[in-house]
Amino acid sequence: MRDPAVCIVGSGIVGTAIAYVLTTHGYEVDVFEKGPEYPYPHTPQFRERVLYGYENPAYAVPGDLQGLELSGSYRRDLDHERHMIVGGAATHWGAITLRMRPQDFATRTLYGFGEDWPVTYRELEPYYGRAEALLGVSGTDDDNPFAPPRSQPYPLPPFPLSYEDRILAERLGSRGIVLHTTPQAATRLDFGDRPACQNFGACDVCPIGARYSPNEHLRLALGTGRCRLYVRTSVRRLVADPRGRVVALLTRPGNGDREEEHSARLVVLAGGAIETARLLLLSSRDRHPDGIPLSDHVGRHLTFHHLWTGRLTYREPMYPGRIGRFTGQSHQFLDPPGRGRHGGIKVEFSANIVPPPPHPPEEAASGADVLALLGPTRYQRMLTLHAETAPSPGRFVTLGSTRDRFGDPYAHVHYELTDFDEETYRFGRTLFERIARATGAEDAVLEPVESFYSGGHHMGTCRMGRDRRDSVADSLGAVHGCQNLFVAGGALFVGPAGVNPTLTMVALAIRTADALMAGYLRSPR
Amino acid sequence: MSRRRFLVVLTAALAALGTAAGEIRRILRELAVPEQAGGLPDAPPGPLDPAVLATLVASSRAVIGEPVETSHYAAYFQWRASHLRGYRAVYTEFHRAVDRDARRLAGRPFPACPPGVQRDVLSRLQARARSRWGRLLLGGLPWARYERYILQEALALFARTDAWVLLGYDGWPGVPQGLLRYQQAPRPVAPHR
Repeated sequence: MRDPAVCIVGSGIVGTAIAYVLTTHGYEVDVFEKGPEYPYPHTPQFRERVLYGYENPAYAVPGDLQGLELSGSYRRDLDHERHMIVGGAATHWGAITLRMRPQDFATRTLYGFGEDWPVTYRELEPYYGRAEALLGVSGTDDDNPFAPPRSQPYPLPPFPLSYEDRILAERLGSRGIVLHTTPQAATRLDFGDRPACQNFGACDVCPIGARYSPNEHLRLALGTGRCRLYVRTSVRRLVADPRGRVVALLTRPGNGDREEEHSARLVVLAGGAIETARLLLLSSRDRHPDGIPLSDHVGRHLTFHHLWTGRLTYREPMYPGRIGRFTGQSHQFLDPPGRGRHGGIKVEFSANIVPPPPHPPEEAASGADVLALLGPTRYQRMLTLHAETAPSPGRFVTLGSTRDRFGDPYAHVHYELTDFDEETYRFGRTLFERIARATGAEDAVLEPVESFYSGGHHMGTCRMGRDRRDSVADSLGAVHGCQNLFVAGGALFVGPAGVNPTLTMVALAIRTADALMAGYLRSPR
Repeated sequence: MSRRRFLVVLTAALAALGTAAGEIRRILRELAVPEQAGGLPDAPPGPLDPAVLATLVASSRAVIGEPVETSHYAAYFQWRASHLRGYRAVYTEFHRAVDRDARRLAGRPFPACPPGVQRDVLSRLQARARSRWGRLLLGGLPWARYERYILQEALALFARTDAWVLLGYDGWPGVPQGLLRYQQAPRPVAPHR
């Protein structure tokens, strides 16, 4: 049997980054993905979805392999935010790639909420630079006075503000609010194998690979001949020896009737915050004599981002939607004076039109009806408040009572809004009204607090820390009490800050890969 | 009557009775149940006959009633017929029904009719399908299925494509726009919109 150096569970942006770094340094890696193949570049998906209006069921996990139980305040379809396919959730992401700020790593010390991270911005800064180089980030800090310090420039120049964002930026600037460009993993110019963005306007299925997709580095890893990808394969649990060393993964092909055992020198769990916690809980020594000894922090400290979207209507046409990318946003309120009583907020003007084009336009019986429905959206802009929250005892992942095809319990997610969040919403609503006034909006409607959306950002279920009394893993992701088991990705986050998490996830993943090569995997096989 | 002849007559009588019973059941169902959209039939995909495609494109233009580029409507219908089960069968049934009425009303194929006649044909069929007695006369024509899988999809495609241009945009999502135009002022809004 093949004996890879590293088994990676999950083929998303974090798993593929680690696979790419390791395989290009000579290590053999096996990647396990529960979901199906997802073609890259996403040209077939682009054709199916954009040209022919078809959602191909071949790109979905069977219903009896994906599921979760949800309780508490969250009203959205959390299960399907996860995109269990080869490439993971970042096959569909907006590709906004922001660094956290130095203060975000010390919220307990500086603001009295959450916990401090066991790693500082200064330690992570070089890895942020490498993550930006890996993903091909286009951006600048020249117009953003709130950007954290950096030791190297962005790999690519920024996407300039759109015409309508420039108008809003002028109006906001005269009222003391800075609207600046958005760093993003989309190619402003040709970058390696990836061509420059041509503005197809359908970025979630970018047909040319201009918007970064994890499948890019998975393809490169597979090209080394040292990476093997197991698709439609569920990792059911980890098996450990009495010392807590993981010796095997028990897997089950989706269509298989037999369990398989994969031996492992080292295992990295990169299946997203919810599934990673679930797999650890399924593998606990409490459930199996040959299970792994776990900190009781597994599954606790779950956080999302809280996104509230508002609609601003103007007298003059804004023509949103002329570029698929995000252009204007403001980081001015990530670290406001009241931080601690409430969270920081990133302000984001969306490029999309509102509401989305009716599909199908059920209220429409003619082209004139469609034009009447869509016409007003030219005068509108969507504004999203992308808010920070804090871990709370009312948010966690446990094992549920419903089970998948193999009889394994699905995750149960419980998520409650807190007083901190209500205060953050009040702060955000005041900010929204201020922006509406500053930009001359004739009408401004913000969705209510309970309509918050996670942004698909699920974090904190295996947070990093000093030891198993306060956390699940150390700052490299090494699980406390297990000698060869690592967690990677958003599950490790100590706090969510107010910015999109993916760049930090990739930076941490590269740091983990470096540590594996420097210490845990001394010699290539 | 010989035994053989008796068996032939009996078989024919039973077949007629079965057909009549089926028709009676259909009539009762049509009278009792409001028209349902239903799903797609389980029929194999395949390329479209040019006459069917012409009817689909003409119907799209008629229901949209605005100037459109027809090539992507043709590509849309052809792709769905060729790749997805059931669409080719629905498209072909629809073509037969619409074309039959067009010939009856205007003496020519549906695509060759003036737009006003085309809209008239569609609305007559729709009105008849919405009335229970009309459905009886139409022989169970699944008009709601045509609305859902043809006319509404044509409107949805319009909303994703030509509508953008008619509202003053340079193009629609899916067509590369480059990275300069979005930074410039859009062309003025058409006054009648």
